[in-house]
Amino acid sequence: MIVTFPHMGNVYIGAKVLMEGLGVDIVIPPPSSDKTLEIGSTYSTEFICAPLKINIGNYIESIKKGADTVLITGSNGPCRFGFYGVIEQEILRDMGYDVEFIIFEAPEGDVGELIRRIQKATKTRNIGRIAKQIIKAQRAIITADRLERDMLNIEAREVKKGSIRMLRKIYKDEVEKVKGEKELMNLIKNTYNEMTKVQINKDHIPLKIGLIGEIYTLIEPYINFHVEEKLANLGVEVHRSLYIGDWLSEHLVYRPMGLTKEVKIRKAAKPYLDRCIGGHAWETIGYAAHYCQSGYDGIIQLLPFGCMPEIVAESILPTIQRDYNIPLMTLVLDELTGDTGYLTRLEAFVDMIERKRERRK
Amino acid sequence: MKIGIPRGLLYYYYFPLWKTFYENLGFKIILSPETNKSILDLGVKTCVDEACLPVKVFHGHVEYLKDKVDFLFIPRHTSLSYGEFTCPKLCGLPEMIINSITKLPKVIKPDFNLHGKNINIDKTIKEMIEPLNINIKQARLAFFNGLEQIRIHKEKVFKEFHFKYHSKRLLVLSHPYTLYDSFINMNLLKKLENMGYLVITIDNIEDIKINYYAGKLPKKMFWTFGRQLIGSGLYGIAEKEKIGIDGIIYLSSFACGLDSIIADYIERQIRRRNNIPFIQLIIDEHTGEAGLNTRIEAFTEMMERRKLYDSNFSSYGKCIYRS
Ligand code: SF4
Ligand code: SF4
Repeated sequence: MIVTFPHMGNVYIGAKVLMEGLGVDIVIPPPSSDKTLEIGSTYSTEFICAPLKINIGNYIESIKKGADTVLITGSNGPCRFGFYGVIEQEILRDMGYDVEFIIFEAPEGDVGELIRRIQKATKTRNIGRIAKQIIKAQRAIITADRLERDMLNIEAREVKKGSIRMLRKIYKDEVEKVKGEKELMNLIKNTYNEMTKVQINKDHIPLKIGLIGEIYTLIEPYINFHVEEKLANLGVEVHRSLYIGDWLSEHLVYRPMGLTKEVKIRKAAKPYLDRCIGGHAWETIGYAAHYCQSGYDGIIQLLPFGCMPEIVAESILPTIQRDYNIPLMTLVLDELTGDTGYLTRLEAFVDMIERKRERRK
Repeated sequence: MKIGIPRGLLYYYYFPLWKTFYENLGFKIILSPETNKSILDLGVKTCVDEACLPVKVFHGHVEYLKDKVDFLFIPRHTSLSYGEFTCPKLCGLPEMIINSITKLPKVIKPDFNLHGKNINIDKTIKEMIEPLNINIKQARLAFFNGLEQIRIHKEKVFKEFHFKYHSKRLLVLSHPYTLYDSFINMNLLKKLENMGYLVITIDNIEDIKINYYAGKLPKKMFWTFGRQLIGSGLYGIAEKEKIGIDGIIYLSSFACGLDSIIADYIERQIRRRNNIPFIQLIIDEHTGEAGLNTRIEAFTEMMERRKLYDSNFSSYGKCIYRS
C-alpha cells in the first residue's frame, strides 16, 4: 500500500509526519500546477467545484509516482465536499485507474468504522501510537502555518523587496526533502534564524486586509494565485480567516466535545447569519464582521466558481460593507481566471484602500 | 392583512400548506404571478451574479411582491427529511433575500428543519406566526390542516399521472422549481407531451423504488432532491424496459451544485452501460428557446432511431406501477 492524498496548503507536512512516523509508504503529490488542474478539468464534469478538479490532478500525478491508495476526509453534508469521495472514485474508475479510497469519516455516525479506517490506512491497530503521531502531525502543521504567517508579516515590511520570497523558496524546496518531525522542526528553526536577518522598515505602517471565503481557495496557494504573497509583496499585512491547523483542532478536539473555538466569530456573524448553512459561509460572515470591528482596511472574499455556501455569503457581504464602510472585494476563481488580470484587480483594490486611508488622515 | 408568497423554489411542493395555514388564520395570500420575462429581469438585477437561475427567479418574485403586501413569506428549508439536507442556497434563502433586496416589508422566515431525531415543529409554527400576533393553539390546528392539504395535493398529482396515456415514455429528471416553472424550462413538459411523450418525473416514481436505488450508492445521499434524482435515475437505467422509457432527460440550471454531482454520477453509469439515450439540458437566463428546441428534437430523433434498431427495446405501453 502506497498512499497519497490531495494537496491543501500545509496538509502535506502533517501527512508526511503522520505516515512516515508510522512507517507507511507515502507519495506527496507534486505541488499543484496548471498541469494538475488541466488533468482534473479534462476528466471531471465542467460544473463541479474547482477543488475537486485539482484533487483529481493531484491523484493522477501521484499515481504516476506509484501511489495506489487515496486518503481523504469526508463529511455528511450539506455541501458537495461530502460527495467528493464518491465522485472522485467514479472519475478515476472511468479513467481506468484501480486505486483504493480510504475516506476518514464516520458513515452515518458510525465512529467504530472511522477508527477501523484509520487503522487500515496507518497499518497499525495501536490506537495510542496513532494518536501520538496525529498530535505530532498536527503540531507540525500548526508550526508550519505559523512560520508562513510570520514570513508574510515580515514580507510586508521588508526593506529589500524579495528577501522573504527567496527565503520562502529555499524553505519550500527543503521541506519536501526532510524526513520526520525532528528534521522538519530543525528546518523551521533555521528558517526563523534566517528571517531575523531580514531588514525591516519600521516606519512602514502596512495596510491590513482580511481574507475570507471558501476554505480550499483560502488555503491552497495554487488556486488563489498565491494571493497572500502577492499582497505581502505590495506591502500589505494579510490575515486569513482559516488555517488547516486550526480547522483540525476545531474538528478533532473541540467539536467532538461539543465545544467550539469560534464563539467570538459566531457572535460577530449573528446579526447577519446565525447558523451553519454548509461549507464555511458562517465563518466567512463572522470573520468579515470581525475584521471590520478590528480596524482592517479592506476585505477580500475568495470562492471557487459556483460555490454554493459562498454565494449565500456573497449576498450578505454588501450589508456588512455598508454597515462598517469598509471596502470589500469578491474574487471568483476558476480555470479561466488569468494570472495577470487577477493581479491588476488586486493592485487596484490595494490602491483604492490606500487612498481611502490617506483621505482619513 | 396581506401575506406575499413568491412563486418560486419550494412553492411547488409546499404552497398548499402555506396557503391553508395563513387563510385558516384569516390572512389574505398574495401569490406572485407565474414567472415571466419581467420577473426574471427583476431577479437578475437584484440577485448576486453567481447564483443559479431558480434562485434569481425567486429574487424576481420577491421584488415584484414587496410593495404589494404587508408581510413577505420567505421560508428556509434546512431539511425536508430525516438525516438529509437541502442545497445551501435554500438553507440561506432568507439571508440572500434580505441582504439583496431593499425596502422589504416585514419578513416571515420560518425554518423547516426535519434533520434531527427530535424535530421541533412547534418552533417552526411559532416562527410562521412570529410577527402576526396569533394564538399558537389556533396556529397548530391551521398547520395540521395545511399538512393534510399537502397529502391531498400529492395524491392528486400521483393519480392524474395514472390517467394519462401515451405510447411513448420519457424520464425527465429535475428539481421541482425547474421542472414545474414552465417559463424557466421554456415549456419543456408541454413540448414533450405534444411530441407524444408521457413524461415521468421524480414525483411519479414510488418512494420504495427511489430509496432502493439510491441505497445502492456507496454513501448515503444527504440531499433530499439528490436522493430522489439519483434513485429515479438509477431506477430508470436498471428497469427501463419495465418502466417503458425510451430515454432520460436531465434538466439542470447552469452552475447547480447538486446537479454537478448527481447528473455526473448518473451519466457515468449510463455511459458505462450505454443502454439508454441520455441528455443533460442546461438552462440559464441566456438560454435561447430555439437552441433548446433543436437539442430536444435532435435527442428525440436519436431516441426513436435507437428504438427502431435496438431489438431489446419494445416494451412501451406498460403501466409502470404494475408488478
Ligand atoms: S464549499 Fe464550495 S468548494 Fe466546497 S464543496 Fe461546497 S461548493 Fe464546493
Ligand atoms: S439545488 Fe441547484 S438549482 Fe437548486 S438552489 Fe441549489 S444550486 Fe440552485
